[in-house]
Amino acid sequence: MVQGPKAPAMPLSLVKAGETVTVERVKGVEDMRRHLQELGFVEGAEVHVVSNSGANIIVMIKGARFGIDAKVAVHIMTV
Amino acid sequence: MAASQLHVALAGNPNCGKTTLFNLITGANGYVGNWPGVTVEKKEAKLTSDKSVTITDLPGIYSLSPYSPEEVVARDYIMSDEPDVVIQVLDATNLERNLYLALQVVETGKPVVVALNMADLVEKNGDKIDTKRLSKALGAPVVMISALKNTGIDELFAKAREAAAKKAEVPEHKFDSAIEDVLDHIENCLPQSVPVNKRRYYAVKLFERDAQAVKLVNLNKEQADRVEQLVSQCEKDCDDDSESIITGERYAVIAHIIDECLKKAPEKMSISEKIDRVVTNRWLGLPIFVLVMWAVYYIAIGTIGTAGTDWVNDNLFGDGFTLFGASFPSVPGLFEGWLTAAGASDLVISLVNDGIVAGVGAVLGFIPQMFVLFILLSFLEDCGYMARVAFVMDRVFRRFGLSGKSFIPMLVSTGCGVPGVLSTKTIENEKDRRMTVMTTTFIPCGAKLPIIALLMGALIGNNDASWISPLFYFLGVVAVIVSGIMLKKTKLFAGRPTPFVMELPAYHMPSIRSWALHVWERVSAYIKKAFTIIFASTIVIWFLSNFGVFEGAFGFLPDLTDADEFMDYSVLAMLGSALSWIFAPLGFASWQAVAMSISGLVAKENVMATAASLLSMSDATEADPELWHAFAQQMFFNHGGTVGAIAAFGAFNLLCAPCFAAMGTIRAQMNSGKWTAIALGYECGFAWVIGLMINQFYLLSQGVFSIWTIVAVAFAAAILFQLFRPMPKGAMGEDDNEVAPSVSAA
Repeated sequence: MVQGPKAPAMPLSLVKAGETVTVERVKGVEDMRRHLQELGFVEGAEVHVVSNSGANIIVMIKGARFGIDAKVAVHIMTV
Repeated sequence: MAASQLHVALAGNPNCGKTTLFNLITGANGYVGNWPGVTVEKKEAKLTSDKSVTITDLPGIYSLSPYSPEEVVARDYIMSDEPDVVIQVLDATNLERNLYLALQVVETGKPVVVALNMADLVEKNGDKIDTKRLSKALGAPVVMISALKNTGIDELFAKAREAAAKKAEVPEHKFDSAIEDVLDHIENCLPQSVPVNKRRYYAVKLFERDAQAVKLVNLNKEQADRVEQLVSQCEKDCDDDSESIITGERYAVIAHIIDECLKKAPEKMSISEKIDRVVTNRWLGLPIFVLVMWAVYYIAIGTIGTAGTDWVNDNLFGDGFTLFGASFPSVPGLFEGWLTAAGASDLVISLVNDGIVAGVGAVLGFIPQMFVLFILLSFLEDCGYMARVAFVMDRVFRRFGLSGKSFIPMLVSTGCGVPGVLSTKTIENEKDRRMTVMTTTFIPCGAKLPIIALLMGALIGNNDASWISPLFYFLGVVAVIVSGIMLKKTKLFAGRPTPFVMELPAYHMPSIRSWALHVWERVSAYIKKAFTIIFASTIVIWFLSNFGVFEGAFGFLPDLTDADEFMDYSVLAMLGSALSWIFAPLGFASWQAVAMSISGLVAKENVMATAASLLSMSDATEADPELWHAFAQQMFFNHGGTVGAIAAFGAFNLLCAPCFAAMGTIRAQMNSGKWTAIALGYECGFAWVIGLMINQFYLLSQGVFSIWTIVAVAFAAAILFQLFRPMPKGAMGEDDNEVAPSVSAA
């Protein structure tokens, strides 16, 4: 594994359309975190951002497309 | 040979094609009800090809953790003794996601057969699935099927019978060895009473600290402490909470399975992705949606649908019609002919034609319109566009405490409130669902449009200006939003707004069969209403308005008196007068206006017919200016009512509890007497208050002041207060403060 300067984790809400990022961790209250993890937002999962309007965001994760509210997306930290 | 009874549970993710499969194998005519105690729909039916097999369709879920009513229902059912085998339906084009639930179902220790649905699409995409390896990895037989193309179904049920005979299965897949060690230790702590095939399941549940499952195993103090010690040690080692550890492990197992069993063709940017770039675009999303909806209503209400409806009303139930050169009499004409020939009395002819045929006919007239509307709406839903609409509208609705998912029931309610209320079942959050059930019938349904036409005629002397129906749809949406904001701040509905996370399935052409079923489900709900509730209620209303006391004698009024206004002596008149005090503050105290409102509670379709017969203008329609004048004069102006009273009458009738059929549906959907009472009480109360304010503020503008003016002002102040006060403390989740700044940073 290449060791280099590590970019700080960024909330999914700030990722631009067309980029693919990796989930680092999920924050927030327990039931929402659990729900997100069950949908596949687990550490190391790849997320492709299809569109990001600022208010909500469409991502591809584990082969399915999800629409997510920006308030939820801020809880998903990605690198 | 008589095969033994077999209970099969169908489990699967939303959008995996489970419903299509269920409809295919059962012919879609089974029992539909609710699971006990929750607002989750339960579907059960016999297999068409083998009546000894009973299929229970579980709700579409992503996991078996007990955090939503759907998940609890599914888990409790699988763990119960009733199902002999679970058929786990997977969308084969999206194995990675669908396997998560599959692993959990396999872990329960029930015999499982995995159905890889949409097998035809896998081939088309150029992907390859190694079913043998997949079967080995999951420890369950795997069958490729296509519910759409009807392939592989026989093999699926053969395997299901085989699997059921085994009674129990021990799950095969293993997690990371460190976790497995801990799970082994926990398994050793379990009492002997837990059967072999369920030990793994309970070990995992204890590890996750799943309170509901823990209750079922009865650990003693010593065992419980030991388990807790093992779990906390493991959490410390992994630096994560136990539930996240298991979730992560399951996805690791899945990644491994996918690696072994799936050969994927190289990916290209999908058509869905291209379409989504446009229709969910920040600026284009809403205008595109408005355009699509305009087209839907233009076709359904403006052109084809209305042509059909007019034909039914004018010919079938009007003057008769000519078809292929042969002329046919109208339905009332036909009945009158038959009954006269049979020597029936005036009473019977009046009951059949003025009561039943007129009432039921008024309802059936809406069918062509509704049919076209539901064909279009169901298509938009089944092809995947409605999920995007919910997504786009969520941005707007979220500000008012409503979910974007509430929007689909509102669209369906423009046709009829019954399927509208039914379609709330796609909303996952129970509070959101209840609130949508309560408010969605504020949207004017097809049957309210004639009432609107009559009122606008009476108020402004014009009822076909193109802005009228959009205005009332808009007012309906405003009523929903105002109610949403107010209710969200009460104890009943308080809570963090549910975060919007919704799967957007790939766009696809729905199969004609499932599309037709969807349309039929909705139209038939409406037709059923015509022949049951409306049929019965028209007889009752006919009786109430034709029987009464005249000069001390009770009987059929047209026999007792020659007066045209015989209805003034009817039971309906007495009822209306007895209840008129309720509506006096709203300005409409005449018994006729009250009687119209009562018949509206039974069915909105009745209101026009009641108006016409009360005014002795049976042949008049809502488009007749004479009826407008008679309506305004005799029902309002002659009783001291004003223009304000007419508007208040309209507001009350458009907002109050919907018809009997919709009330019944609300009862079924709420699955609770208390919640049904709350819903209907709120609707009627809200309608009354709005009506009161309209009438009193109109009177005030004319310089009339009374005690009711003060009441109206008080209500207005209360509504404004509830609308604009901040969300009460504690009603939101504690993390909202944490969320807000990051959003503004975005």
